[in-house]
Amino acid sequence: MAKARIKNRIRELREAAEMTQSQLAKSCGCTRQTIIMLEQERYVPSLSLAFGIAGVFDVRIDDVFKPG
Amino acid sequence: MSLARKLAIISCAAWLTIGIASTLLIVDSGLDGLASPSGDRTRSILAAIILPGYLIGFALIWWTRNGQRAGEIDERDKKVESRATEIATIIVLLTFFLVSIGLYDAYLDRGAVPVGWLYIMAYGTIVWVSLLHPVLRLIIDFSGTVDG
Repeated sequence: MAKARIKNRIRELREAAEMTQSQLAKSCGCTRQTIIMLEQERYVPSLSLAFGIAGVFDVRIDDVFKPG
Repeated sequence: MSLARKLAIISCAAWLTIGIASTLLIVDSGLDGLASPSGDRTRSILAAIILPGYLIGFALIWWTRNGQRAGEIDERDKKVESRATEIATIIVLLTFFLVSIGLYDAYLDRGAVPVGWLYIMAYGTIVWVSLLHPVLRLIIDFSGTVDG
C-alpha cells in the first residue's frame, strides 16, 4: 500500500507568527527535530500533535494539514 | 541536537568500543581459552565490560522515559526507537540463525561444536543488539522514514 503523504503549512504559519522552530516545538510539546521533519514534509504527525500544532496557530487542523 | 539523537550517538560509540575490546579479548584468549578453566580471567573481564554496559543502557532508557528530562523524548523519537527495535529484532534473529547454521555446517563432521562458541554467541548477541539498535535509530532518524 502506498504511503499516505500529507502536505502542511507549518513553516508558513510559523513565519507568519514570527516564531522560531524551537518556540513552536516547546509550545506543542515536541522536539525541534520533529518540527524540522514536519516542515520538510518528511514526517506525518499523530493526530494529537497535529491538533496541538493547529492549536498553537489558533487555526483549524485542515488549515494546517492537507492530503498530498 | 535532540536528547534521543545524543543518546544514540553515545550508545554507538560506547558499544563500538565494547565490541572491539571484547573481540580483541576473545581473539587473544582463543576458543580453547574460553572453554578452559584458565580462561576464567577473560570471561570475567568480558562479563565485567558487557553486563554493566547493558544495564547502563537500560537505566538510560528508564531515565529518558521517567527521569527529569522525560519531556525531551517526543512521539517521533518513540516511533524511531520502536521501528529500530523491530528491525534490530529481525536482524539479530537472522544473524543468530546464520551463525548457528554456519557452526553446524563447519562442525558437522566432528559431531560437536566447541563450547567456546556458545559463550561467544551469548555475549556476542548482547553486544550486537546493543550496537545495532542505536545505529538503526540514527539511520531511521536521519532518513525520516517513520510517521506518527
